[in-house]
Amino acid sequence: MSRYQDTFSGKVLIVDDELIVRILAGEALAQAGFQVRTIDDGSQVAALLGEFVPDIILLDVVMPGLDGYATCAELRRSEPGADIPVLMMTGFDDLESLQSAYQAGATDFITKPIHWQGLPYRVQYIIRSSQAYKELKTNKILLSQAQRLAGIGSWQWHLSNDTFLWSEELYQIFIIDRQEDDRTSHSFFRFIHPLDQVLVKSAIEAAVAGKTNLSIDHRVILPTGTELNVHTEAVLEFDGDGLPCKMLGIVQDITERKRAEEQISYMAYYDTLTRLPNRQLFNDRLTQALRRSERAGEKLAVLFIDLDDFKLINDSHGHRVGDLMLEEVARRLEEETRANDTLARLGGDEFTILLHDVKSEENVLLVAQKHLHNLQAAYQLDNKQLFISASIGVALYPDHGDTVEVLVKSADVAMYQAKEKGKNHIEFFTEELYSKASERLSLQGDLRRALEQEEFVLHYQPRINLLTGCWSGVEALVRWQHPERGLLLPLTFIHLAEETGLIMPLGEWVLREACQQLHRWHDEGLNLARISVNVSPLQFRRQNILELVKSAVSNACLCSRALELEITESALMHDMAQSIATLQRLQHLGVNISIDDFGTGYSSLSHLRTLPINILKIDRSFLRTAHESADDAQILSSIIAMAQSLNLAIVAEGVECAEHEALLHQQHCREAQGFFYARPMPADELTCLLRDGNHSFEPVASRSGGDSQQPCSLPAGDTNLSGDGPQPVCLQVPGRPLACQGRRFCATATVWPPSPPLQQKSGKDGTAA
Amino acid sequence: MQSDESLLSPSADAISPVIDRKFIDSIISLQHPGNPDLLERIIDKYINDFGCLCSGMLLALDEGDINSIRLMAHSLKSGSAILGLTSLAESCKKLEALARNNSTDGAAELLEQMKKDFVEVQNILHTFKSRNHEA
Repeated sequence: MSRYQDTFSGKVLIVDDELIVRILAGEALAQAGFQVRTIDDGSQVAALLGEFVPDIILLDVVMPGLDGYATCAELRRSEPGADIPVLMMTGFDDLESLQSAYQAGATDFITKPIHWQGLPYRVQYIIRSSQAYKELKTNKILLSQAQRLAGIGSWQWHLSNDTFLWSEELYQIFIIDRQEDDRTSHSFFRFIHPLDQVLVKSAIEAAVAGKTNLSIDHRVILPTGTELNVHTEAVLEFDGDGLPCKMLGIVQDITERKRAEEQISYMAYYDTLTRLPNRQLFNDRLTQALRRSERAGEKLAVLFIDLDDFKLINDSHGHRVGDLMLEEVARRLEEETRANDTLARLGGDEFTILLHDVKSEENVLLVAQKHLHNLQAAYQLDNKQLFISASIGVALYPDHGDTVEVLVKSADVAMYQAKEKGKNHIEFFTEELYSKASERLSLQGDLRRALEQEEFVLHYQPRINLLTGCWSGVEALVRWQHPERGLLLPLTFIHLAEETGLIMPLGEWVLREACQQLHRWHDEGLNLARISVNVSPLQFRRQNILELVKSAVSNACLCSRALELEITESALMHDMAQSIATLQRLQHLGVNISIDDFGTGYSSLSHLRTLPINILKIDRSFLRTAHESADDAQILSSIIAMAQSLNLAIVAEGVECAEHEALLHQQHCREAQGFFYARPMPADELTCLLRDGNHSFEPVASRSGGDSQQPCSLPAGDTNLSGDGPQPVCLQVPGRPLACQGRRFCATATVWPPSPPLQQKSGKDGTAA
Repeated sequence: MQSDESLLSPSADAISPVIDRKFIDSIISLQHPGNPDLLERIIDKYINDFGCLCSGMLLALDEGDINSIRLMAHSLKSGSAILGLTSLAESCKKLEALARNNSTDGAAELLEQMKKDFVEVQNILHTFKSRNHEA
């Protein structure tokens, strides 16, 4: 039953040798609500703290044994006792001993005889103030730690008498010797960077005059000479008259943040590999240069530099070597770039140079030639000697454009032309190139629409078994039935489709449609064994080709053996391990794999041995010259022999005349395709041909009775997505081409006596196998 | 803090030179039903202590043990002050001061005076005790 309206709480330890005091003080405090323990000897205190940690200790001064001072001093040295408030109970006549009490670490004193009813209030007050003090101390430590972590210090500036006080943290940030601080604003201002003195002073003056807050970034120089970036934020305090009397400020060290910002800005404007300006910075510089040149009436030149076949370096030597080469290329280009010109890496193997104050085209040409020359020298990378060339396109201001976009695009277009002219070449932009480029652009737009509008069609070119004369299969070739331009061959749009990524949906459509078409032929009872489809490198690498093939084959109710995928060697080189895994899975399905255009890429024997493939398709270029050059004939024969030794089937592409066929026959090549037998044709034409061949084909047709167009005079036929030439004229004559093709096919078989198997073929009448 | 219990407030006690009533009242006010005989316990303890300490000091005086005299005088002073025994507390204080100055001059006289005072005080304390008990 407490007689107090206030609530008291806390643990109290009373140490007094007088039982009467212990009883009465204990009673008074317990009644008030405190938890009380009493002991009669100071020497017991330390032991008691192990089990009972009081919030306050009431300590008698005069005790036999350990007296109050000694007990208090010992308490202060102990871990739990250091912060416990001690209320010394002294006699009313012991005032002279108070000094000793405080020296021993007493918190407060109370004189005996004690006013019992007032004691709980006194005790509670000391406990509260002690807790408040502890919290304050903790907060101060936390604040100080936080400020130290954040690199924040604070100051107070009394404006009337120029007293400038620093916080502990500020002393640490500025590494200041306290002795040197004269406690005026002078000692603060002398740390400010000389170049920022005026800035800071005028900002402070403006804040005082305008009665506003101060917020400013500036530099300081430490006594050690180190330069720091700091942020200063300050507020004003006003006197009774509303005049500023005091400024309170914080200073934060933002050096690290500034550094990070600079790093981010560097990364935003510079290429990390070569440390050259990137596209963003190049565009900025070009924008500024255009403004200056317009005023000064000067000419500018933009050089667009693209390495020739850089992809081969990456593919064959790995990206690390590729990166080393890019660094070296950047170094060589930089060597020949004037200080006020800008060399940038736009990305990949594309570089640009901005030339200021161009006097003549000849000067630009000389600069470009110098770069080409430098880049051609051998590269020693990773203990390998490598070579590379570049193609350069040039656009001039104001001749070829007056905006960043147009100039860079024009130089790009010119570079593209330089590539087409055989690489390692310099080309200036012309209007003609522009129309070519814009044609490409409009084609790009058309291409997207074409997919939606289903303007693509497939043509099919038969493949012939030279031993039997039968068709061993057909190759599906994509065509674009352009509404305005007519039938377009892959050469005009495949590259664009690859650039825009449209090759993915296009490739998928080709695969599905080819499978469906084979299924339709089978439905009509036309027995074609196999259809081959070209797979673009991108499609092979990116798309889930396995799932796509499975779905295309099963949707068309075909056996996977009926499908052959043609892939170029370079498409496989990108990631050999991945390529091999994909090919193995495809083969596991039963799909045949052929290497397209063999002989134009690496033609690496070791690769051929490791790649799980079935067929090699020899590029047309070998056949074109083989019957004229003994060397080329030898190469052809070697390739065929090698393929045979590796158990690979061989298909010769681009057979255009009887001489080609004879040569292939001589080399024991089994399969061939080309205009000599049949050009690529729409499905219904092929259907007719198959039917006619089955039912009404005349084996012996007179060559002279055929149309006047000689097979050998035909331009190079197409056997893949990107290798098309123009179409033969006879396509346009309805009815004729079938007979034409049939006769030609037949004639080959009959007029070539040295080959007995082919003579046998005439008996089979070119029937499709 | 001032007790309002009129039973315990005989006007004659208040003016006694040997005892200051308000200290007794202060102790009485600490009493409650759970602890009704606090004053009696304190008075018994004091009377008992007085006997021991007084003869202890006489003995120490004979033996010249000044430090013991000082401690005992201090102890008795504390108890006397708590009960408001003004003259006894004053004598104890003098005795303690003497001992602190390493002297015993007049100590025997002081002790003799204290004994005399105690006789009077003891009666008053017994009165308070019995009144408290009856209350």
